[in-house]
Amino acid sequence: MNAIFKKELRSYFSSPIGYVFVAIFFCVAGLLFTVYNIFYRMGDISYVFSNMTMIFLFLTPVLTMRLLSEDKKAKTDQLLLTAPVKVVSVVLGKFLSAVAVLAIALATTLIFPIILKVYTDPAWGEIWSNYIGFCLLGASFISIGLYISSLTENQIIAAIATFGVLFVLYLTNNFAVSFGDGFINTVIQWFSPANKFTDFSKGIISIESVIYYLSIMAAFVILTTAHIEKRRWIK
Amino acid sequence: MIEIKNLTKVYGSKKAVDDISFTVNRGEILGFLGPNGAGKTTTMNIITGYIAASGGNVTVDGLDVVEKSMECRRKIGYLPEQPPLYMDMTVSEYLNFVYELKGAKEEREEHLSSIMEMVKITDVKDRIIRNLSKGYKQRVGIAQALVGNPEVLILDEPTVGLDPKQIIEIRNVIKELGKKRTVILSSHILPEVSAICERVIIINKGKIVAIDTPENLSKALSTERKLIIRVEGSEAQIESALSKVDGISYIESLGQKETGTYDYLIEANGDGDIRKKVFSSLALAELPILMSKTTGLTLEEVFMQLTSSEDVQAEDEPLEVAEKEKKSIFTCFKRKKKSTEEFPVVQEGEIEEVAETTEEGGEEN
Repeated sequence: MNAIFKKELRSYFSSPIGYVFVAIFFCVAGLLFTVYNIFYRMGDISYVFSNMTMIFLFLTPVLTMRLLSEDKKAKTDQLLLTAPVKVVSVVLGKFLSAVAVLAIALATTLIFPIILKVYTDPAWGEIWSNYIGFCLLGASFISIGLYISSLTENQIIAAIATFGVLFVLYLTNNFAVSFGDGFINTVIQWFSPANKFTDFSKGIISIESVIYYLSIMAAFVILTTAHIEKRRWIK
Repeated sequence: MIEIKNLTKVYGSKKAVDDISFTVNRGEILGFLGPNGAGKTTTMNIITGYIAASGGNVTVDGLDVVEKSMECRRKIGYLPEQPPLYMDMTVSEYLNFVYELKGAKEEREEHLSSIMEMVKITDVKDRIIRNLSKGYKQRVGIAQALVGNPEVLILDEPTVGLDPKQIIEIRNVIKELGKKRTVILSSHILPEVSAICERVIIINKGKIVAIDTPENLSKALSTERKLIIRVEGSEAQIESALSKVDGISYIESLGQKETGTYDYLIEANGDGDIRKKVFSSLALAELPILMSKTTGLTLEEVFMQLTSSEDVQAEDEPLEVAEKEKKSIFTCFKRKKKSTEEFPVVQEGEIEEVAETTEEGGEEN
Protein backbone atom coordinates (compact mmCIF):
# COMPACT_ATOMS: atom_id res chain seq x y z
CA MET A 1 0.00 0.00 0.00
CA ASN A 2 2.83 2.30 0.91
CA ALA A 3 4.57 1.76 -2.43
CA ILE A 4 1.38 2.43 -4.39
CA PHE A 5 0.59 5.50 -2.32
CA LYS A 6 4.03 7.00 -2.88
CA LYS A 7 4.03 6.16 -6.56
CA GLU A 8 0.58 7.64 -7.18
CA LEU A 9 1.33 10.77 -5.24
CA ARG A 10 4.51 11.24 -7.22
CA SER A 11 2.71 10.70 -10.50
CA TYR A 12 0.17 13.40 -9.57
CA PHE A 13 3.01 15.85 -9.24
CA SER A 14 5.20 14.59 -12.05
CA SER A 15 2.34 15.34 -14.42
CA PRO A 16 0.40 18.63 -14.56
CA ILE A 17 -2.70 17.08 -12.95
CA GLY A 18 -1.66 17.62 -9.35
CA TYR A 19 -0.57 21.20 -9.94
CA VAL A 20 -3.65 22.06 -11.99
CA PHE A 21 -5.89 20.62 -9.30
CA VAL A 22 -4.20 22.46 -6.43
CA ALA A 23 -4.01 25.69 -8.44
CA ILE A 24 -7.66 25.72 -9.48
CA PHE A 25 -8.75 24.73 -5.99
CA PHE A 26 -6.72 27.52 -4.45
CA CYS A 27 -7.81 30.09 -7.07
CA VAL A 28 -11.52 29.42 -6.70
CA ALA A 29 -11.31 29.25 -2.92
CA GLY A 30 -9.31 32.48 -2.95
CA LEU A 31 -11.90 34.15 -5.15
CA LEU A 32 -14.73 33.10 -2.85
CA PHE A 33 -12.74 34.18 0.19
CA THR A 34 -12.05 37.57 -1.36
CA VAL A 35 -15.71 38.11 -2.22
CA TYR A 36 -17.36 36.81 0.96
CA ASN A 37 -14.82 37.53 3.63
CA ILE A 38 -12.86 40.50 2.39
CA PHE A 39 -15.41 42.50 0.35
CA TYR A 40 -18.35 41.75 2.67
CA ARG A 41 -16.11 41.92 5.72
CA MET A 42 -17.34 38.68 7.24
CA GLY A 43 -15.39 36.56 9.68
CA ASP A 44 -17.33 33.41 8.80
CA ILE A 45 -15.41 31.04 6.52
CA SER A 46 -18.27 28.58 6.01
CA TYR A 47 -19.55 30.39 2.89
CA VAL A 48 -16.30 29.64 1.15
CA PHE A 49 -16.50 25.93 1.92
CA SER A 50 -20.20 25.53 1.18
CA ASN A 51 -19.57 26.96 -2.28
CA MET A 52 -16.41 24.90 -2.69
CA THR A 53 -18.44 21.68 -2.34
CA MET A 54 -20.09 22.62 -5.65
CA ILE A 55 -16.73 23.34 -7.27
CA PHE A 56 -15.41 20.05 -5.97
CA LEU A 57 -17.95 18.21 -8.14
CA PHE A 58 -15.94 19.38 -11.12
CA LEU A 59 -12.56 18.78 -9.56
CA THR A 60 -13.06 15.24 -8.25
CA PRO A 61 -13.00 13.65 -11.72
CA VAL A 62 -9.65 15.35 -12.37
CA LEU A 63 -8.19 13.49 -9.42
CA THR A 64 -9.85 10.13 -9.87
CA MET A 65 -10.32 9.55 -13.60
CA ARG A 66 -6.95 7.92 -14.22
CA LEU A 67 -6.50 6.12 -10.90
CA LEU A 68 -7.52 2.65 -12.06
CA SER A 69 -8.53 3.14 -15.67
CA GLU A 70 -4.98 3.96 -16.69
CA ASP A 71 -3.60 0.76 -15.19
CA LYS A 72 -6.20 -1.23 -17.03
CA LYS A 73 -5.41 0.42 -20.33
CA ALA A 74 -1.60 0.34 -20.03
CA LYS A 75 -1.82 -3.24 -18.72
CA THR A 76 0.19 -2.22 -15.67
CA ASP A 77 -2.53 -3.87 -13.62
CA GLN A 78 -0.74 -7.11 -14.54
CA LEU A 79 2.12 -5.99 -12.37
CA LEU A 80 -0.09 -4.87 -9.50
CA LEU A 81 -2.32 -7.93 -9.53
CA THR A 82 0.49 -10.48 -9.79
CA ALA A 83 2.62 -8.82 -7.11
CA PRO A 84 2.36 -10.21 -3.59
CA VAL A 85 -0.03 -7.47 -2.43
CA LYS A 86 -3.72 -7.66 -1.71
CA VAL A 87 -6.04 -5.88 -4.12
CA VAL A 88 -7.54 -3.92 -1.26
CA SER A 89 -4.17 -2.39 -0.41
CA VAL A 90 -3.66 -1.39 -4.04
CA VAL A 91 -7.06 0.29 -4.02
CA LEU A 92 -6.45 1.93 -0.64
CA GLY A 93 -3.04 3.21 -1.75
CA LYS A 94 -4.62 4.86 -4.76
CA PHE A 95 -7.53 6.23 -2.76
CA LEU A 96 -5.28 7.71 -0.09
CA SER A 97 -2.99 9.31 -2.66
CA ALA A 98 -5.95 11.21 -4.16
CA VAL A 99 -7.06 12.19 -0.66
CA ALA A 100 -3.52 13.40 0.01
CA VAL A 101 -3.70 15.72 -3.01
CA LEU A 102 -7.00 17.07 -1.68
CA ALA A 103 -5.32 17.58 1.68
CA ILE A 104 -2.49 19.49 0.04
CA ALA A 105 -5.02 21.70 -1.78
CA LEU A 106 -6.88 22.27 1.48
CA ALA A 107 -3.63 23.10 3.23
CA THR A 108 -3.02 25.98 0.83
CA THR A 109 -6.29 27.52 1.99
CA LEU A 110 -5.06 27.60 5.59
CA ILE A 111 -3.88 31.07 4.78
CA PHE A 112 -7.52 32.26 4.99
CA PRO A 113 -7.90 31.74 8.75
CA ILE A 114 -4.56 33.43 9.22
CA ILE A 115 -5.78 36.47 7.26
CA LEU A 116 -8.99 36.45 9.29
CA LYS A 117 -6.97 36.34 12.50
CA VAL A 118 -5.27 39.56 11.52
CA TYR A 119 -8.54 41.52 11.30
CA THR A 120 -10.85 39.72 13.66
CA ASP A 121 -11.14 37.02 16.23
CA PRO A 122 -12.46 34.12 14.14
CA ALA A 123 -14.57 31.27 15.49
CA TRP A 124 -11.86 28.59 15.43
CA GLY A 125 -14.20 25.73 16.20
CA GLU A 126 -16.31 26.52 13.21
CA ILE A 127 -13.27 26.85 10.95
CA TRP A 128 -11.88 23.45 11.95
CA SER A 129 -15.25 21.75 11.62
CA ASN A 130 -15.47 23.22 8.11
CA TYR A 131 -12.07 21.78 7.27
CA ILE A 132 -12.88 18.37 8.73
CA GLY A 133 -16.24 18.30 6.98
CA PHE A 134 -14.73 19.24 3.65
CA CYS A 135 -12.07 16.54 3.98
CA LEU A 136 -14.72 13.93 4.68
CA LEU A 137 -17.00 15.08 1.87
CA GLY A 138 -14.08 15.31 -0.56
CA ALA A 139 -12.76 11.86 0.38
CA SER A 140 -16.17 10.29 -0.09
CA PHE A 141 -16.49 11.93 -3.50
CA ILE A 142 -13.05 10.59 -4.35
CA SER A 143 -14.06 7.08 -3.32
CA ILE A 144 -16.99 7.27 -5.74
CA GLY A 145 -14.69 8.52 -8.50
CA LEU A 146 -12.25 5.73 -7.72
CA TYR A 147 -14.94 3.12 -8.12
CA ILE A 148 -16.10 4.57 -11.44
CA SER A 149 -12.53 4.67 -12.70
CA SER A 150 -12.23 0.94 -12.02
CA LEU A 151 -15.20 0.26 -14.29
CA THR A 152 -13.71 1.57 -17.50
CA GLU A 153 -10.36 1.87 -19.19
CA ASN A 154 -11.28 5.19 -20.75
CA GLN A 155 -10.34 8.18 -18.63
CA ILE A 156 -12.80 10.52 -20.33
CA ILE A 157 -15.72 8.19 -19.67
CA ALA A 158 -14.57 7.82 -16.07
CA ALA A 159 -14.40 11.60 -15.67
CA ILE A 160 -17.79 12.34 -17.19
CA ALA A 161 -19.53 9.47 -15.38
CA THR A 162 -18.00 10.56 -12.08
CA PHE A 163 -19.19 14.10 -12.60
CA GLY A 164 -22.67 12.90 -13.55
CA VAL A 165 -23.02 10.65 -10.52
CA LEU A 166 -21.71 13.27 -8.10
CA PHE A 167 -23.92 15.95 -9.62
CA VAL A 168 -27.05 13.85 -9.19
CA LEU A 169 -26.00 12.97 -5.63
CA TYR A 170 -25.41 16.61 -4.90
CA LEU A 171 -28.85 17.58 -6.13
CA THR A 172 -30.72 14.89 -4.19
CA ASN A 173 -31.99 17.60 -1.86
CA ASN A 174 -33.81 19.29 -4.69
CA PHE A 175 -35.33 16.01 -5.90
CA ALA A 176 -36.46 15.17 -2.40
CA VAL A 177 -38.61 18.30 -2.27
CA SER A 178 -40.71 17.10 -5.16
CA PHE A 179 -41.79 14.04 -3.13
CA GLY A 180 -43.56 16.25 -0.60
CA ASP A 181 -43.09 15.90 3.12
CA GLY A 182 -43.38 12.16 3.35
CA PHE A 183 -41.17 9.22 4.22
CA ILE A 184 -39.42 9.20 0.83
CA ASN A 185 -38.39 12.79 1.29
CA THR A 186 -36.85 11.99 4.66
CA VAL A 187 -34.92 9.02 3.30
CA ILE A 188 -33.56 10.90 0.30
CA GLN A 189 -32.66 13.87 2.43
CA TRP A 190 -30.77 11.56 4.77
CA PHE A 191 -28.67 10.21 1.92
CA SER A 192 -27.76 13.63 0.54
CA PRO A 193 -24.03 14.28 1.04
CA ALA A 194 -24.59 18.04 0.76
CA ASN A 195 -27.08 17.98 3.62
CA LYS A 196 -24.65 16.20 5.86
CA PHE A 197 -22.15 18.94 5.18
CA THR A 198 -24.40 21.72 6.49
CA ASP A 199 -23.81 20.47 10.05
CA PHE A 200 -20.09 20.91 9.62
CA SER A 201 -20.46 24.38 8.15
CA LYS A 202 -22.43 25.39 11.24
CA GLY A 203 -19.60 24.16 13.39
CA ILE A 204 -21.26 20.91 14.45
CA ILE A 205 -19.28 17.71 14.16
CA SER A 206 -22.00 15.10 14.48
CA ILE A 207 -21.05 11.47 14.80
CA GLU A 208 -23.86 10.57 12.41
CA SER A 209 -22.36 12.67 9.60
CA VAL A 210 -18.83 11.43 10.23
CA ILE A 211 -20.02 7.82 10.12
CA TYR A 212 -22.08 8.59 7.02
CA TYR A 213 -19.04 9.84 5.10
CA LEU A 214 -16.77 7.10 6.39
CA SER A 215 -19.27 4.45 5.35
CA ILE A 216 -19.48 5.89 1.82
CA MET A 217 -15.69 5.66 1.58
CA ALA A 218 -15.60 2.12 2.96
CA ALA A 219 -18.44 1.01 0.72
CA PHE A 220 -16.83 2.29 -2.45
CA VAL A 221 -13.34 1.05 -1.59
CA ILE A 222 -14.85 -2.39 -0.99
CA LEU A 223 -16.89 -2.19 -4.20
CA THR A 224 -13.78 -1.23 -6.16
CA THR A 225 -11.81 -4.11 -4.66
CA ALA A 226 -14.64 -6.52 -5.35
CA HIS A 227 -14.90 -5.30 -8.92
CA ILE A 228 -11.19 -5.82 -9.57
CA GLU A 229 -11.29 -9.24 -7.94
CA LYS A 230 -14.28 -10.12 -10.07
CA ARG A 231 -12.36 -9.23 -13.22
CA ARG A 232 -9.97 -12.08 -12.48
CA TRP A 233 -12.84 -14.49 -12.90
CA ILE A 234 -14.53 -13.07 -15.94
CA LYS A 235 -11.42 -12.06 -17.82
CA MET B 1 8.18 -27.13 -8.95
CA ILE B 2 5.09 -26.12 -10.91
CA GLU B 3 2.31 -28.57 -11.38
CA ILE B 4 -0.62 -27.91 -13.66
CA LYS B 5 -3.56 -30.25 -13.48
CA ASN B 6 -6.54 -30.35 -15.83
CA LEU B 7 -6.40 -26.62 -16.34
CA THR B 8 -9.36 -25.20 -18.22
CA LYS B 9 -10.33 -21.64 -19.03
CA VAL B 10 -13.57 -20.82 -20.75
CA TYR B 11 -14.40 -17.45 -22.30
CA GLY B 12 -18.08 -17.45 -23.05
CA SER B 13 -18.50 -20.44 -25.29
CA LYS B 14 -14.86 -20.61 -26.33
CA LYS B 15 -12.40 -22.82 -24.51
CA ALA B 16 -9.12 -20.90 -24.46
CA VAL B 17 -7.37 -23.60 -22.47
CA ASP B 18 -8.81 -27.07 -22.61
CA ASP B 19 -7.89 -29.50 -19.87
CA ILE B 20 -4.11 -29.27 -20.00
CA SER B 21 -1.76 -30.87 -17.49
CA PHE B 22 1.99 -30.71 -17.20
CA THR B 23 4.74 -30.26 -14.66
CA VAL B 24 7.77 -28.03 -14.73
CA ASN B 25 10.82 -29.29 -12.87
CA ARG B 26 13.01 -27.13 -10.70
CA GLY B 27 15.76 -25.40 -12.62
CA GLU B 28 14.30 -26.19 -16.00
CA ILE B 29 13.78 -23.87 -18.95
CA LEU B 30 10.49 -24.79 -20.49
CA GLY B 31 9.35 -23.43 -23.83
CA PHE B 32 5.72 -22.85 -24.48
CA LEU B 33 5.06 -22.86 -28.14
CA GLY B 34 1.96 -22.27 -30.18
CA PRO B 35 0.36 -20.06 -32.79
CA ASN B 36 -1.40 -16.86 -31.77
CA GLY B 37 -4.51 -17.54 -29.75
CA ALA B 38 -3.39 -21.03 -28.75
CA GLY B 39 -3.77 -20.31 -25.06
CA LYS B 40 -0.17 -19.56 -24.08
CA THR B 41 -0.85 -16.20 -22.48
CA THR B 42 -3.99 -17.44 -20.78
CA THR B 43 -2.09 -20.32 -19.18
CA MET B 44 0.66 -17.98 -18.01
CA ASN B 45 -1.86 -15.51 -16.64
CA ILE B 46 -3.44 -18.30 -14.63
CA ILE B 47 -0.10 -19.53 -13.23
CA THR B 48 0.77 -16.01 -12.10
CA GLY B 49 -2.65 -15.50 -10.55
CA TYR B 50 -3.63 -12.62 -12.82
CA ILE B 51 -6.76 -14.43 -13.89
CA ALA B 52 -8.56 -17.36 -12.37
CA ALA B 53 -9.03 -20.72 -14.03
CA SER B 54 -12.46 -22.08 -14.86
CA GLY B 55 -11.35 -25.55 -13.82
CA GLY B 56 -8.32 -27.50 -12.66
CA ASN B 57 -5.56 -26.21 -10.46
CA VAL B 58 -2.02 -24.95 -10.46
CA THR B 59 0.46 -25.50 -7.65
CA VAL B 60 3.84 -23.88 -7.20
CA ASP B 61 6.09 -25.75 -4.78
CA GLY B 62 3.02 -27.60 -3.59
CA LEU B 63 1.12 -24.38 -2.86
CA ASP B 64 -2.13 -23.73 -4.70
CA VAL B 65 -1.98 -20.44 -6.60
CA VAL B 66 -5.51 -19.48 -5.61
CA GLU B 67 -5.52 -20.52 -1.96
CA LYS B 68 -1.95 -19.51 -1.14
CA SER B 69 -1.77 -16.75 -3.71
CA MET B 70 0.52 -14.38 -1.78
CA GLU B 71 3.18 -17.05 -1.15
CA CYS B 72 3.01 -18.18 -4.76
CA ARG B 73 3.27 -14.68 -6.16
CA ARG B 74 6.39 -14.08 -4.11
CA LYS B 75 8.00 -17.04 -5.87
CA ILE B 76 7.07 -15.90 -9.35
CA GLY B 77 8.46 -13.12 -11.50
CA TYR B 78 6.22 -12.35 -14.46
CA LEU B 79 6.88 -10.51 -17.69
CA PRO B 80 3.54 -10.18 -19.46
CA GLU B 81 3.22 -9.87 -23.21
CA GLN B 82 3.15 -6.11 -22.88
CA PRO B 83 5.68 -5.08 -20.21
CA PRO B 84 3.78 -3.42 -17.36
CA LEU B 85 5.75 -0.18 -17.31
CA TYR B 86 4.81 3.21 -15.95
CA MET B 87 5.81 5.45 -18.80
CA ASP B 88 6.21 8.59 -16.72
CA MET B 89 8.83 7.14 -14.37
CA THR B 90 12.54 6.77 -14.84
CA VAL B 91 13.95 3.26 -14.98
CA SER B 92 15.40 3.42 -11.50
CA GLU B 93 12.26 5.00 -10.02
CA TYR B 94 10.25 2.23 -11.60
CA LEU B 95 12.48 -0.54 -10.29
CA ASN B 96 12.46 1.01 -6.85
CA PHE B 97 8.68 1.07 -6.99
CA VAL B 98 8.57 -2.60 -7.98
CA TYR B 99 11.03 -3.37 -5.20
CA GLU B 100 8.74 -1.76 -2.65
CA LEU B 101 5.61 -3.20 -4.20
CA LYS B 102 6.95 -6.73 -4.00
CA GLY B 103 8.28 -6.10 -0.52
CA ALA B 104 11.66 -7.52 -1.53
CA LYS B 105 14.05 -8.36 1.28
CA GLU B 106 17.35 -8.06 -0.60
CA GLU B 107 19.66 -5.13 0.01
CA ARG B 108 18.08 -2.54 -2.26
CA GLU B 109 20.97 -0.72 -3.94
CA GLU B 110 22.97 -3.86 -4.53
CA HIS B 111 20.01 -5.93 -5.70
CA LEU B 112 18.68 -3.37 -8.18
CA SER B 113 22.06 -2.48 -9.59
CA SER B 114 22.94 -6.14 -10.11
CA ILE B 115 19.68 -6.64 -11.98
CA MET B 116 20.27 -3.56 -14.11
CA GLU B 117 23.75 -4.83 -14.84
CA MET B 118 22.45 -8.22 -15.83
CA VAL B 119 19.95 -6.94 -18.39
CA LYS B 120 22.26 -4.08 -19.37
CA ILE B 121 20.09 -1.09 -18.56
CA THR B 122 22.48 0.63 -16.15
CA ASP B 123 23.25 3.35 -18.69
CA VAL B 124 19.59 4.31 -19.11
CA LYS B 125 18.58 4.15 -15.47
CA ASP B 126 17.86 7.86 -15.20
CA ARG B 127 15.85 8.10 -18.37
CA ILE B 128 12.08 8.31 -18.55
CA ILE B 129 10.72 4.94 -19.67
CA ARG B 130 8.48 6.55 -22.29
CA ASN B 131 11.54 7.71 -24.21
CA LEU B 132 13.27 4.35 -24.29
CA SER B 133 13.35 2.17 -27.37
CA LYS B 134 11.23 -0.94 -27.51
CA GLY B 135 14.21 -3.16 -26.79
CA TYR B 136 15.12 -1.25 -23.67
CA LYS B 137 11.51 -1.25 -22.51
CA GLN B 138 11.48 -5.00 -22.89
CA ARG B 139 14.63 -5.26 -20.79
CA VAL B 140 13.15 -3.07 -18.10
CA GLY B 141 10.23 -5.49 -18.20
CA ILE B 142 12.58 -8.40 -17.61
CA ALA B 143 14.37 -6.47 -14.86
CA GLN B 144 11.02 -5.92 -13.19
CA ALA B 145 10.35 -9.66 -13.19
CA LEU B 146 13.73 -10.28 -11.55
CA VAL B 147 13.17 -7.96 -8.61
CA GLY B 148 12.88 -9.93 -5.41
CA ASN B 149 14.86 -12.88 -6.79
CA PRO B 150 11.88 -15.09 -7.63
CA GLU B 151 12.55 -18.80 -8.04
CA VAL B 152 10.29 -19.00 -11.05
CA LEU B 153 10.37 -16.70 -14.04
CA ILE B 154 7.47 -16.59 -16.43
CA LEU B 155 8.22 -14.70 -19.61
CA ASP B 156 5.56 -14.13 -22.21
CA GLU B 157 7.21 -13.64 -25.59
CA PRO B 158 10.29 -11.97 -24.14
CA THR B 159 12.02 -11.22 -27.44
CA VAL B 160 9.12 -9.92 -29.45
CA GLY B 161 9.84 -6.66 -31.23
CA LEU B 162 13.55 -6.65 -30.55
CA ASP B 163 16.28 -6.27 -33.12
CA PRO B 164 18.41 -9.31 -33.94
CA LYS B 165 21.31 -8.26 -31.76
CA GLN B 166 19.02 -7.64 -28.83
CA ILE B 167 17.27 -10.96 -29.38
CA ILE B 168 20.57 -12.78 -29.04
CA GLU B 169 21.46 -10.77 -25.95
CA ILE B 170 18.12 -11.38 -24.28
CA ARG B 171 18.37 -15.08 -25.07
CA ASN B 172 21.73 -15.21 -23.39
CA VAL B 173 20.31 -13.38 -20.40
CA ILE B 174 17.49 -15.90 -20.18
CA LYS B 175 19.90 -18.82 -20.47
CA GLU B 176 21.99 -17.30 -17.73
CA LEU B 177 18.93 -16.82 -15.55
CA GLY B 178 17.80 -20.36 -16.25
CA LYS B 179 20.89 -21.75 -14.58
CA LYS B 180 19.56 -20.88 -11.15
CA ARG B 181 15.86 -20.56 -11.73
CA THR B 182 12.90 -22.29 -13.24
CA VAL B 183 11.89 -20.49 -16.39
CA ILE B 184 8.76 -20.83 -18.48
CA LEU B 185 8.85 -18.85 -21.67
CA SER B 186 6.36 -18.60 -24.43
CA SER B 187 7.15 -17.89 -28.00
CA HIS B 188 5.96 -18.42 -31.48
CA ILE B 189 9.51 -18.20 -32.73
CA LEU B 190 10.76 -21.72 -33.10
CA PRO B 191 14.52 -21.24 -33.35
CA GLU B 192 14.33 -19.30 -30.13
CA VAL B 193 12.72 -22.14 -28.28
CA SER B 194 15.13 -24.70 -29.67
CA ALA B 195 18.04 -22.42 -28.78
CA ILE B 196 17.09 -21.79 -25.18
CA CYS B 197 14.75 -24.43 -23.89
CA GLU B 198 15.43 -27.84 -22.47
CA ARG B 199 11.87 -28.96 -22.99
CA VAL B 200 9.12 -27.75 -25.25
CA ILE B 201 5.38 -27.86 -24.91
CA ILE B 202 3.53 -27.31 -28.13
CA ILE B 203 0.03 -26.08 -27.58
CA ASN B 204 -2.68 -25.50 -30.13
CA LYS B 205 -6.27 -24.41 -29.65
CA GLY B 206 -5.94 -24.77 -25.90
CA LYS B 207 -4.66 -28.35 -26.02
CA ILE B 208 -1.19 -29.77 -25.60
CA VAL B 209 -0.10 -31.49 -28.79
CA ALA B 210 3.45 -32.44 -27.77
CA ILE B 211 5.85 -32.30 -24.85
CA ASP B 212 9.48 -33.23 -25.42
CA THR B 213 12.98 -31.89 -25.91
CA PRO B 214 13.45 -29.90 -29.12
CA GLU B 215 15.84 -32.58 -30.47
CA ASN B 216 13.49 -35.44 -29.79
CA LEU B 217 10.60 -33.60 -31.32
CA SER B 218 12.39 -33.11 -34.59
CA LYS B 219 13.84 -36.62 -34.49
CA ALA B 220 10.59 -38.34 -33.74
CA LEU B 221 8.79 -36.80 -36.63
CA SER B 222 11.62 -36.87 -39.06
CA THR B 223 10.88 -39.76 -41.41
CA GLU B 224 12.85 -38.54 -44.35
CA ARG B 225 16.25 -37.18 -45.10
CA LYS B 226 16.54 -33.97 -46.98
CA LEU B 227 19.49 -32.54 -48.80
CA ILE B 228 19.92 -29.11 -50.26
CA ILE B 229 22.55 -28.75 -52.97
CA ARG B 230 23.80 -25.96 -55.20
CA VAL B 231 25.09 -27.10 -58.55
CA GLU B 232 26.72 -25.22 -61.38
CA GLY B 233 25.17 -25.98 -64.74
CA SER B 234 21.88 -25.75 -66.56
CA GLU B 235 18.63 -26.92 -65.08
CA ALA B 236 18.10 -29.61 -67.68
CA GLN B 237 21.58 -31.07 -67.15
CA ILE B 238 21.28 -31.14 -63.41
CA GLU B 239 17.84 -32.67 -63.44
CA SER B 240 18.82 -35.39 -65.81
CA ALA B 241 21.89 -36.20 -63.71
CA LEU B 242 19.82 -36.32 -60.55
CA SER B 243 17.20 -38.50 -62.11
CA LYS B 244 19.85 -41.16 -62.59
CA VAL B 245 20.42 -41.44 -58.86
CA ASP B 246 18.26 -44.08 -57.24
CA GLY B 247 16.89 -43.67 -53.78
CA ILE B 248 15.57 -40.16 -54.42
CA SER B 249 11.88 -39.74 -53.79
CA TYR B 250 11.45 -36.06 -54.42
CA ILE B 251 13.31 -33.32 -56.24
CA GLU B 252 12.40 -29.70 -56.18
CA SER B 253 14.15 -26.77 -57.76
CA LEU B 254 14.66 -23.88 -55.42
CA GLY B 255 15.67 -21.58 -58.27
CA GLN B 256 18.76 -19.67 -59.17
CA LYS B 257 20.62 -18.18 -56.22
CA GLU B 258 23.95 -17.48 -57.88
CA THR B 259 24.38 -16.87 -61.57
CA GLY B 260 24.97 -20.08 -63.44
CA THR B 261 23.91 -22.27 -60.52
CA TYR B 262 20.70 -23.90 -59.37
CA ASP B 263 19.60 -25.01 -55.93
CA TYR B 264 17.74 -28.24 -55.39
CA LEU B 265 15.97 -29.85 -52.51
CA ILE B 266 16.29 -33.61 -52.59
CA GLU B 267 14.49 -36.07 -50.38
CA ALA B 268 15.73 -39.62 -50.01
CA ASN B 269 13.35 -42.46 -49.43
CA GLY B 270 14.32 -44.66 -46.55
CA ASP B 271 17.33 -44.11 -44.38
CA GLY B 272 20.04 -44.50 -47.02
CA ASP B 273 22.70 -41.83 -47.36
CA ILE B 274 22.30 -40.39 -50.83
CA ARG B 275 25.08 -37.82 -50.64
CA LYS B 276 27.72 -40.02 -52.19
CA LYS B 277 25.43 -41.13 -54.98
CA VAL B 278 24.42 -37.58 -55.76
CA PHE B 279 28.03 -36.48 -55.76
CA SER B 280 29.24 -39.19 -58.11
CA SER B 281 26.30 -38.78 -60.44
CA LEU B 282 26.83 -35.03 -60.76
CA ALA B 283 30.59 -35.43 -60.99
CA LEU B 284 30.13 -37.86 -63.81
CA ALA B 285 28.08 -35.26 -65.65
CA GLU B 286 30.79 -32.67 -64.86
CA LEU B 287 28.43 -30.57 -62.81
CA PRO B 288 30.34 -29.22 -59.78
CA ILE B 289 28.50 -29.18 -56.45
CA LEU B 290 29.19 -25.83 -54.84
CA MET B 291 27.27 -26.44 -51.67
CA SER B 292 25.54 -29.32 -49.99
CA LYS B 293 23.79 -29.56 -46.69
CA THR B 294 21.54 -32.04 -45.03
CA THR B 295 18.50 -30.89 -43.24
CA GLY B 296 16.55 -32.86 -40.69
CA LEU B 297 12.98 -31.97 -40.00
CA THR B 298 13.23 -28.53 -38.47
CA LEU B 299 11.22 -27.61 -35.46
CA GLU B 300 9.19 -25.41 -37.76
CA GLU B 301 8.03 -28.38 -39.74
CA VAL B 302 7.33 -30.35 -36.59
CA PHE B 303 5.32 -27.44 -35.37
CA MET B 304 3.38 -27.17 -38.59
CA GLN B 305 2.67 -30.89 -38.62
CA LEU B 306 1.50 -30.91 -35.05
CA THR B 307 -0.57 -27.77 -35.11
CA SER B 308 -2.22 -28.26 -38.45
CA SER B 309 -2.95 -31.98 -38.37
CA GLU B 310 -6.24 -31.42 -36.58
CA ASP B 311 -7.32 -28.86 -39.11
CA VAL B 312 -6.62 -31.31 -41.87
CA GLN B 313 -9.04 -33.79 -40.43
CA ALA B 314 -11.56 -31.16 -39.62
CA GLU B 315 -11.67 -29.53 -43.00
CA ASP B 316 -11.22 -32.69 -44.99
CA GLU B 317 -8.93 -31.03 -47.50
CA PRO B 318 -5.65 -32.76 -46.83
CA LEU B 319 -4.15 -32.18 -50.23
CA GLU B 320 -4.56 -28.47 -50.33
CA VAL B 321 -3.33 -28.05 -46.81
CA ALA B 322 -0.31 -30.20 -47.49
CA GLU B 323 0.45 -28.06 -50.51
CA LYS B 324 0.29 -24.91 -48.52
CA GLU B 325 2.42 -26.36 -45.79
CA LYS B 326 5.11 -27.39 -48.18
CA LYS B 327 5.12 -24.03 -49.81
CA SER B 328 5.56 -22.17 -46.58
CA ILE B 329 8.29 -24.51 -45.46
CA PHE B 330 10.15 -23.94 -48.66
CA THR B 331 9.94 -20.21 -48.37
CA CYS B 332 11.49 -20.75 -44.97
CA PHE B 333 14.43 -22.52 -46.42
CA LYS B 334 14.99 -19.99 -49.10
CA ARG B 335 14.91 -17.08 -46.77
CA LYS B 336 17.07 -18.69 -44.19
CA LYS B 337 19.69 -19.58 -46.69
CA LYS B 338 19.74 -16.19 -48.24
CA SER B 339 20.20 -14.62 -44.88
CA THR B 340 23.06 -16.87 -43.87
CA GLU B 341 24.93 -15.92 -46.99
CA GLU B 342 24.33 -12.26 -47.26
CA PHE B 343 23.64 -10.92 -43.82
CA PRO B 344 24.91 -13.34 -41.26
CA VAL B 345 23.98 -11.02 -38.40
CA VAL B 346 20.41 -10.46 -39.50
CA GLN B 347 19.68 -14.14 -39.48
CA GLU B 348 17.66 -14.07 -36.29
CA GLY B 349 15.31 -11.41 -37.54
CA GLU B 350 14.80 -13.26 -40.76
CA ILE B 351 13.90 -16.33 -38.84
CA GLU B 352 11.36 -14.40 -36.91
CA GLU B 353 9.73 -13.34 -40.13
CA VAL B 354 9.81 -16.89 -41.31
CA ALA B 355 8.07 -18.03 -38.19
CA GLU B 356 5.39 -15.51 -38.88
CA THR B 357 4.82 -16.67 -42.41
CA THR B 358 4.55 -20.23 -41.21
CA GLU B 359 2.08 -19.13 -38.67
CA GLU B 360 -0.04 -17.29 -41.19
CA GLY B 361 -0.11 -20.45 -43.20
CA GLY B 362 -1.37 -22.26 -40.14
CA GLU B 363 -4.15 -19.80 -39.60
CA GLU B 364 -5.34 -19.91 -43.14
CA ASN B 365 -5.80 -23.60 -42.79
